[in-house]
Amino acid sequence: MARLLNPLSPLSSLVFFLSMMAYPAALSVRNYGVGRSDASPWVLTDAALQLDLTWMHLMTDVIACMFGAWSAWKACSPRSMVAPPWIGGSAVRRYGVPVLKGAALGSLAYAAGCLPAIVQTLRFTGGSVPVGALLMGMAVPAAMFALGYALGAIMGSRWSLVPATLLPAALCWGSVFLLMPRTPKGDVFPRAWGSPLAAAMPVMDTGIGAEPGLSINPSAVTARWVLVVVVLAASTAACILTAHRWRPGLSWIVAPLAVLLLVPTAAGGLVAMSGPAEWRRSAPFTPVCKSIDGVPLSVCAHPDDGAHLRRYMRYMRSAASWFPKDSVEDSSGLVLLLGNAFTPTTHGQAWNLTDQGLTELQHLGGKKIQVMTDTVTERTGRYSDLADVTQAIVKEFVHADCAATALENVYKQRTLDDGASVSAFVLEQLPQRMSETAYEALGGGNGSSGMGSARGPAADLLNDATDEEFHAYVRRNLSEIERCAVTPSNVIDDLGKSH
Amino acid sequence: MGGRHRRGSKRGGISVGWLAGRNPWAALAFIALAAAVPFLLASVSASATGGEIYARPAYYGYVCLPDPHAVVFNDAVHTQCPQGKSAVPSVVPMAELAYAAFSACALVMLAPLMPTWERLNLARVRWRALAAGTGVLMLPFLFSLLLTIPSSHGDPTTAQSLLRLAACNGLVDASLVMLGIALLGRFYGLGLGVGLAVINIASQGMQVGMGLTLRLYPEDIKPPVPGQGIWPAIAAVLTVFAVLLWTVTGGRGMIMDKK
Repeated sequence: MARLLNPLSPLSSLVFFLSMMAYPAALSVRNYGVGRSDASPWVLTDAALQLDLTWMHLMTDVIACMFGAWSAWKACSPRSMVAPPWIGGSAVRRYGVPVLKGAALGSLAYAAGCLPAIVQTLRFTGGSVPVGALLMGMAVPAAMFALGYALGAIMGSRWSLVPATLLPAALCWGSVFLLMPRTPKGDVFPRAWGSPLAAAMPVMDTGIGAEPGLSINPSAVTARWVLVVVVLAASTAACILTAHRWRPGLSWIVAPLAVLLLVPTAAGGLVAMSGPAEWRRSAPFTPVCKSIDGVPLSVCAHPDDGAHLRRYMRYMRSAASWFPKDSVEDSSGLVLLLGNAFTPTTHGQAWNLTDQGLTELQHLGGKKIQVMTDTVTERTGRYSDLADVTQAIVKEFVHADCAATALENVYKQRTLDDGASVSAFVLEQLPQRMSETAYEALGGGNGSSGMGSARGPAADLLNDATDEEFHAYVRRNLSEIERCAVTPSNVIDDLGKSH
Repeated sequence: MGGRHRRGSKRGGISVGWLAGRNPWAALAFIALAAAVPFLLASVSASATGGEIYARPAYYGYVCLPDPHAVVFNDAVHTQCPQGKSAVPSVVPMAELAYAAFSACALVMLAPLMPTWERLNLARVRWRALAAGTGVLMLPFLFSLLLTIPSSHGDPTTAQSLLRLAACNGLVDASLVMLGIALLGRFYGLGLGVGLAVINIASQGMQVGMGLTLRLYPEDIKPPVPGQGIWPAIAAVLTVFAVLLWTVTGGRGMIMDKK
């Protein structure tokens, strides 16, 4: 093994390999529920796994650079007694071989650290191995090792570990904190998405979430690996220049540093200019739609988005339970489209669906609202919380035109005077209470406080009612509320006697 | 004879005294930077209105705190924090990073280049080391605290509360670096000290669970962070211990004594 790793030291290679592997492995185990008896709520989707694979290498990058500096400063520097540069043999081989070996070690360590996450996701979702995303992640530790190696050879002192820690940390920090994600304006979301810098910088939040059907662009992977090859070559060249030009004083340092820093930057700039987009969204698909009995309410999702579909079906069943049977049949209905996968890619399309999917959606009828479950966009931002969805449900299914003026004054009135103000007061609280009851259906939520400014015996009874009492009350009196036929004394009679 | 008692005096062409073989002017420069730069950074980030580049933090994480008002979900939902806890941001501002980094540089500048030579004069070296170590830790801290005293009318400004937090947390980080350098010497000690500071930030969740935290959080955080009341005591103990260790080893690192 020692001969395989030559000239890298086997002990330090082992120590650094384990530390490069540690952070991604710990993240994989913690975030993916490895080792839990019931891991299903923890297992993330294929898209989330791909996003994680392009992010988890941050610590590994820094450690790989430190490994490079540590391996190089003693053995490869001109000041070294161990392998002084006048030893015969090809300079390319003397410096290129350790750089390649260390780069391979860094990539392997990252892949090994991500293995628990990949295995766990494949077990539970049955997708394919995310080779592209893994290659994107593996590229950066390789480049960082080479950078560190050249820094160690140039500085020739163990203090090269300091810039070898600070430089990748600054790069990663800059790409995380300085480069902000964008969202496209308007109603379309392009098929290929990602800032042109994403292939050049170690990590970048390009603004896309874990959409079903997300895949990484092979051109971006290729571009990044081309950049890695350039960095490896530049580092080897910087080491060779150091060996040949070293002399007392500091004048020799300009050429190697220039090669080490400027060549990769120029190559990175070229990659950024050619701008391959990092991510590819889902191709047009046929959605899976499920309808709720009793109310014209349906939920549609991408075939790979089963978990979100199940969850929203539970929410919608809870919301539908507020309407007594056959009370909302005359409404055209509401269809929830889950997630950004539905967003069209061109202005001509209605949705990002196949023809079969579009006809299915048309058959469902009703008003379509797109709910945000993954990527944040202008379009889905309107329906990012369950309360927004329940508000749309209330607006669509409950027609209380007589309470329209009262609804405008619901935060101005002091007491509840007549049926219209009671209806407005109830309708103002209704979306919030519906969403809380829906969360409770999933085991969450706590009590709520009322909304609307009115106070008084009727208003207080409504505000203090628990979600179950309010639910039962609305179910009993929905048609009267719609006709503004509930007076405050009706409220006191109805709710008061149940206390 | 008299020259031995004067700092930096020459005897037969060889510098004597505690500062011989160290970089006192570089250390002073770093102390001045540690006093001035955090203030500038704090003012600049406090005046940022929204997400400007120079207001970005050095590190942004979160800590899970017990919260009686936390929303409860069953296992079907994957939450950021376990049941009964909610997430609170744990930020390392650039001001704190600058403070700790410049203090660390000052400490490294004060590490000797002739440690075996100093072994001959260790008692006197220790007094000077005590003075220098206290100066490196306390001068920037007291200067920053002075700047955070609110003016006669009104509450402290945002910049002042930012600076106070950065200086207090930076002091803890600098003490940890001083501890590391006192133990392991200039190079490995810097690594140990920085590692200890990083471990401190990373283990905040565990520390909160134990009820005492070695970091200060903003006062208006909800839910309140447990253990903030004892922070001054813990920080004082840590600082005193670090200065003590630095004095005892004369800023030379314990491993050097073994040779």
